[in-house]
Amino acid sequence: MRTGLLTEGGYPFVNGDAGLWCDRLVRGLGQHEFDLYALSRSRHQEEQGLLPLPPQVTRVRTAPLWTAEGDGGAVGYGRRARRRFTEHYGELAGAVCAAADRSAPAAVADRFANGLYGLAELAREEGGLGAALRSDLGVRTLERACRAPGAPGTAREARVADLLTVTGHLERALRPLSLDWYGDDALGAADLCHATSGGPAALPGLLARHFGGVPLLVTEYGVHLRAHYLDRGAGAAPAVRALLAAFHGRLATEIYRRAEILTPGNAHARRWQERCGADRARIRTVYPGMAAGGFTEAGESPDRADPDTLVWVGRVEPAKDLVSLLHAFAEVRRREPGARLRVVGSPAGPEGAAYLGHCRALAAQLFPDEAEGAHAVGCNPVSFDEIGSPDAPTLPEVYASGAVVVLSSVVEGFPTGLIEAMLCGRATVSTDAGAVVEVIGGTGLVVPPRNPRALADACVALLRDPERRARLGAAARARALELFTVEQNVRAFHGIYLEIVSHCPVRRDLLDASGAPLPFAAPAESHVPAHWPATPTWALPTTEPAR
Amino acid sequence: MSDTPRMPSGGVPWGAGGDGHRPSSGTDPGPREGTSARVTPAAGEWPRPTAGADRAVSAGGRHGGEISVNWPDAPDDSPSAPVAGILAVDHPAAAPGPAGTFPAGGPRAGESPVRQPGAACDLPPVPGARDLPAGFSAHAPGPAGISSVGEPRAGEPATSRPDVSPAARFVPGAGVFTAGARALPAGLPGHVPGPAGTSSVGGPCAAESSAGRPDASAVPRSVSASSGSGVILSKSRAGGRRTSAIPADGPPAPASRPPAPMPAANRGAVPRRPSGDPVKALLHRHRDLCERAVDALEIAAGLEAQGITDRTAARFRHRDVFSLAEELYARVPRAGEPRAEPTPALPVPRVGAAWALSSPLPGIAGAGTVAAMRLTQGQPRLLVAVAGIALLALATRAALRTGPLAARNGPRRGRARRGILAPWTLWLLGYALFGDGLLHNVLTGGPDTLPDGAPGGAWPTATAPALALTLALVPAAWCAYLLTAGARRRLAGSRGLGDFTAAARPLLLGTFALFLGALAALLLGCATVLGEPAAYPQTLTLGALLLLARLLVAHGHRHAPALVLGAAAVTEAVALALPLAGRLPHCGLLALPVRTLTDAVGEPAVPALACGTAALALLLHAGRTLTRASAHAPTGTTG
Repeated sequence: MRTGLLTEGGYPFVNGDAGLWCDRLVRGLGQHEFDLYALSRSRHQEEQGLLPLPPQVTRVRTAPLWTAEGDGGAVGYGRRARRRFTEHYGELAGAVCAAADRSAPAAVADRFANGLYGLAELAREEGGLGAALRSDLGVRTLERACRAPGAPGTAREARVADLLTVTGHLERALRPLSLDWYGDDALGAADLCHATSGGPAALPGLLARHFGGVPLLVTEYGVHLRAHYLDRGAGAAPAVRALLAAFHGRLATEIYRRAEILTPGNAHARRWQERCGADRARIRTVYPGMAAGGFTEAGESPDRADPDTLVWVGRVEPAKDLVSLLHAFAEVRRREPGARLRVVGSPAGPEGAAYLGHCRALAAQLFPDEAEGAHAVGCNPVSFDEIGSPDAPTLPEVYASGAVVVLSSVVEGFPTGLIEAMLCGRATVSTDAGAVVEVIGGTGLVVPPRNPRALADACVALLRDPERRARLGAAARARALELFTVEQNVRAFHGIYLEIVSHCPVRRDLLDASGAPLPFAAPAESHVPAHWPATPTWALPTTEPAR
Repeated sequence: MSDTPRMPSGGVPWGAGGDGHRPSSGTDPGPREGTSARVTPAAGEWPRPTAGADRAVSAGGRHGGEISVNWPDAPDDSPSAPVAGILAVDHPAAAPGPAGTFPAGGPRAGESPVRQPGAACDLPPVPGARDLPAGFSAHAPGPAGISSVGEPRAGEPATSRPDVSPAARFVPGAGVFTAGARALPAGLPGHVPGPAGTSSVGGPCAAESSAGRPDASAVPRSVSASSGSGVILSKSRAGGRRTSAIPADGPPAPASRPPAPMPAANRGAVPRRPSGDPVKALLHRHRDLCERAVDALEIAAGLEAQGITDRTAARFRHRDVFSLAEELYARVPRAGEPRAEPTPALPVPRVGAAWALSSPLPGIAGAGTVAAMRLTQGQPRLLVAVAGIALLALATRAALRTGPLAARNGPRRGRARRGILAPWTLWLLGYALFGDGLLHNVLTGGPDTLPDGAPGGAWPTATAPALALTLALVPAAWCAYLLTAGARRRLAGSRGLGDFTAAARPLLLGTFALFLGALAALLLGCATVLGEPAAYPQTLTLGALLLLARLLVAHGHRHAPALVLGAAAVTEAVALALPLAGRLPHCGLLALPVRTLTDAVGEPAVPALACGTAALALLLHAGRTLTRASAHAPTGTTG
């Protein structure tokens, strides 16, 4: 089976973000073939080069999203092409500007889809879509849509500068329409398109589905629409933000409508997808996997823990709320005088460094140094370390050294530190933030955030009860091994691939020399989702197995 | 449909007996009897509230029937029930969806119109303290979560919610806890409406109770049993500490609200600030975000980034963050549209040192060449001329590489369709130098000698126009700069495309006229210095043509200038060739038009006419093309 993996600024590039899981996926599914289609985000990223790729990646194609296209100096469009362009782009812009209309969302979505596919077809036949979008014709079409009767107020007050900015963004966002990836030798030859994030990465998948009927699978670990809202902060004018948000919202809706299966990484992404119009029946939550190898040793030996130590691991920043942890630890120490706290982590940026300093000061204030006797040198019950220092050489050792792992964040995404702790078989006490509850699932204690008292109670309860710690730790490790490992991630994706391919096979008609379709040219075995080796010699001259 | 990850499904057997709610008496919202707590804190561990009455709404230890609370000493209405919102949630991460939904738990006492202090959080079903078959251990049957009173960070002095600094709640063991210790830098993320320990833990507990308490389990609200003790402590430390007001906004339980918030108990004697509208406080706190947002989803994204989850939204009587965001979006005061937001200015091209310094270079080279030619005679003059022209070419290339006259996307696009301008330009300049003389010679019998570079003689060389043109690169660059800068300013200020076009047209004509004036002045100066007749018509028209062509090229339109320049050059070549062709036998008519023209007006008429019409055509074209907004769009990445 050949899978077209679509990425944007991610996997094959050396400094792509969130590319590790794609790498693990590709390496884990060695029996299939992968074609990589990567969009790069900046010149820097392209210049850095690609990661070393395993042999099952048969093809890599990249395209830039950052180049500045030539402006509409000479739009090489004839009259008919101009008319088509105006019509399709007008529909697209109209759908974007009518985004506030809730009465007929399906109609708006249909308009958007028609406009988008019409522009794609135009780009495929004539080319030069970027120049047309930036030309005067494109800007005028956009203006007309903004001044149309149904447009929202913010769009109506868009000024010329705003229109130009929006045009620039749209042109960049619609650049995948101008690529030549949709032919029969490229994405058209794949059995399945797997988009590794929403938004621009999934757009080629949409078009492959439109042109070639290739089914689409979209994985989202962080919802693209949400990231768009958070990134386009206060910089731009409200009209620009409104229009772009509407465009990305429409695009997201279209992607969710057309994808066969959506796999959000956690419940949070899933909620957003459902909100944006995804069908619940098509959503499968596949948790991201972590390599569990390094933690097995720590996980299998719960006795190495120091029974009085609480451990906190992570990147120090204000959202982690170490202050309430310190306050909770003060309460813990009041009840369990022998308790220790280890804070292991490096600060994240200047803000984190300031916060770390503040926490150190607070710890020094709260906890006087303790010494064994009147003549011994004491040390503080709270210790701050960094990974790599002699006291905390590696991550598994840090987790192994503690009896209980604590997480006290106020704002949290997907807590990978917690999963590492679970893999090490340590009982955890964490605050309810982000996906913590989903991850823990009953194998640890969860307390409300910003509640040092509750945190302290939980910690004390665990510190006093070693069998309970052991039970929780074992349960946590079992849960982590079952849900959050790379193997389960790869296995889940494999199952989804097979499901998609079985439900939506791509129909390809093979033609013979004279152009008539060949019957039985694709034998039944050709649909088996495995690597089909070389064609047998007797099949070479006239037919070829569908691959 | 495996949208929930498979979980080792150890059903958590809810503690038995956790089923009934006792009908709340009076203001007591049915406390649910929890199963017997397996773990009970040692007596005396919890600070007892010293002051009196807890509110009738005693969330008290009761809550949560799901939380098997069974404090040995906890009297029924003891305010000590509180705290320890330790909840081991045992939801199989299932339906995170349910996290947001409040299953209307049975006869929730929530109906009681009791005010609840603090966040009403229903305790999530706490499995009875017993070992679960799958090896999960139940969480500690702690008492209901402490309502963590929201404590505003030091950076937010004015919040409308009464807060109790958690620090204040701690037994002042060492008296070390200082509110000041919590004075975190203002950079900390604004805390979500902290109040009320929203122990949102309960959320997904939903499906859990295998003991058949679906309703109870579904309650995702944790009771904020604000420990009376906490409150009391805060009271005692009120001096100098934060206001020990009751934590917030426990939204008063409206009967309509499905999951009735468990009354957080025991706020003790501290009067709670009545807040019938918790969303107002949230709106105030996130005023910036709400006012800036363009739709509800943006508010939802912002709220989630601040840490508000569905469980927190439950405290505001919403199903999830999205509906809360919609309410906020609807409620944000939209005073008269449009608010004058300062539109970010477009990048105006700056006066770059590169082009400002390199534009006089061709003029200097030209002047040097002319001076050298005037000073030499004969053979060296030729060499000087050749060297001078080479130098001039280099200088012109350098001057036109950067700055407002630089061709946009110049070297990258090599498409032949785009047009080649250089040969036509060279021909036109050459004609300006030698053409008049050549035409005169051709009309009077043929050129006898080669031009010798002198303004007089058989074949006069008009150096003044050429020199004036090379010197005119400076005003040309500045006029182009004025055009782009003015266009950007008008872009930022105009409301519609038609407005911009109407505003840009006078700008274009004005800069064009400015250039013509500067060129005329330079021509006058050169002619005076060199002692030649000032050839206004042909120089001005040629200058105008070259400027317009260069402007169009600088904005990326190469096709039209190439066409027009070619036409002008071809016209001049034809005008030269016709009299020559007229010498052939029987072709005397061919020379007629040129001869009549030169007889009537003079030799300068030919180039003037050719360049003039070409310049006019280009002016019309530029008036249409360069006044479009898309021609002045700032290129480059805008993120």
